[in-house]
Amino acid sequence: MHQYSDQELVSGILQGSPAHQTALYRQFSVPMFRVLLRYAKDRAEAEDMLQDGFVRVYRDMIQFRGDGALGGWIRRIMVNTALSHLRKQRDFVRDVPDFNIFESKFHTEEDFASNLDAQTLMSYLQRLPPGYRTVFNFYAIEGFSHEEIAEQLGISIGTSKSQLFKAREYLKKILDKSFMPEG
Amino acid sequence: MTEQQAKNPLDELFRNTFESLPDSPAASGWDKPSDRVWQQVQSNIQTPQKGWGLQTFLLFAAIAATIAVGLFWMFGKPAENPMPAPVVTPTEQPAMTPASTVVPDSQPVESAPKSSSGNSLNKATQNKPVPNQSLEGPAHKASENSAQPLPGSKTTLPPNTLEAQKNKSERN
Repeated sequence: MHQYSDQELVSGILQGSPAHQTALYRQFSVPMFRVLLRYAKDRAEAEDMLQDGFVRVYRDMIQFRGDGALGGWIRRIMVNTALSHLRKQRDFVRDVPDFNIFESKFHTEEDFASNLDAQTLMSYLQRLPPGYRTVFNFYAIEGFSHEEIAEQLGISIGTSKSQLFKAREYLKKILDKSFMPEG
Repeated sequence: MTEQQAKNPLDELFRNTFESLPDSPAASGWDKPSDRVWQQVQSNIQTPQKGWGLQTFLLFAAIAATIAVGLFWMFGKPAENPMPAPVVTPTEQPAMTPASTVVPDSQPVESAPKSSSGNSLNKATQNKPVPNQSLEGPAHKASENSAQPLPGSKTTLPPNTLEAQKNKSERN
């Protein structure tokens, strides 16, 4: 399959070329789907986000100014699309009152066995409540600060810190269970 | 990225795992979207340029054909049952003077108005046969453009005549 440059893809899509549209989707669908899987609760929701995100990408392609990489621009659109989906859920950033936080056994990076593959970690992440998952994604993986997260999600900085703390504890709990010897 | 973010081992585990994935999807296909997504995207981004011209042409052709058929039925088709000529009821009829009231020109006028001054015009008038006074009166003037009333019927002036309006204003 011919690999187009960013500029070729953009100009081709702006001219309505179906070949360039297909090439863009083939080039970016998998990495963007991985991003959206982290924000969604399951595969079906991630696919809905991906569909809406790509429609936005093609529709707003004329707004791409070429300042950065096309992949980064598409990724921002995908994350914004995921946020739009999550905002439709009422009070998606909220505490889970019946969640019992306990002290995790894991404390160091070495404790986290690297046997965990990406698919397993993704499934753990998807078990988080939406607010925990979103803040953890923004902070731990995307690298946003709490100020930026608070602005993006329309919450206070304290709420962002609280959601991150609880997300980490939730993940540690799941990891503890996964490593707990049977019986 | 802050120092605190880099230090947390849990964050590092997730970040490193997700960022070190190969470009190609996994063999199990867990990170590959289904084909349905691309089909839905295609149906949403398809530009209606292809076929638009043909659709427009067909639309305009259908409209033109409809108009042409309509015009043919309205104007081009010969009338099988021609409509009868509308019966126009005249609202005003010319004054019909009964023969009994017409005075022949040769009949001398005895009751001609006397002129106050004897100028030539009046003299000439005196020599001419003057029609009957009954034809020159106000009642006759009022009815000279209307149908004659039946004998014994009450004379009613049409409301649009000057005389009728004058009578109405006098009553008021």
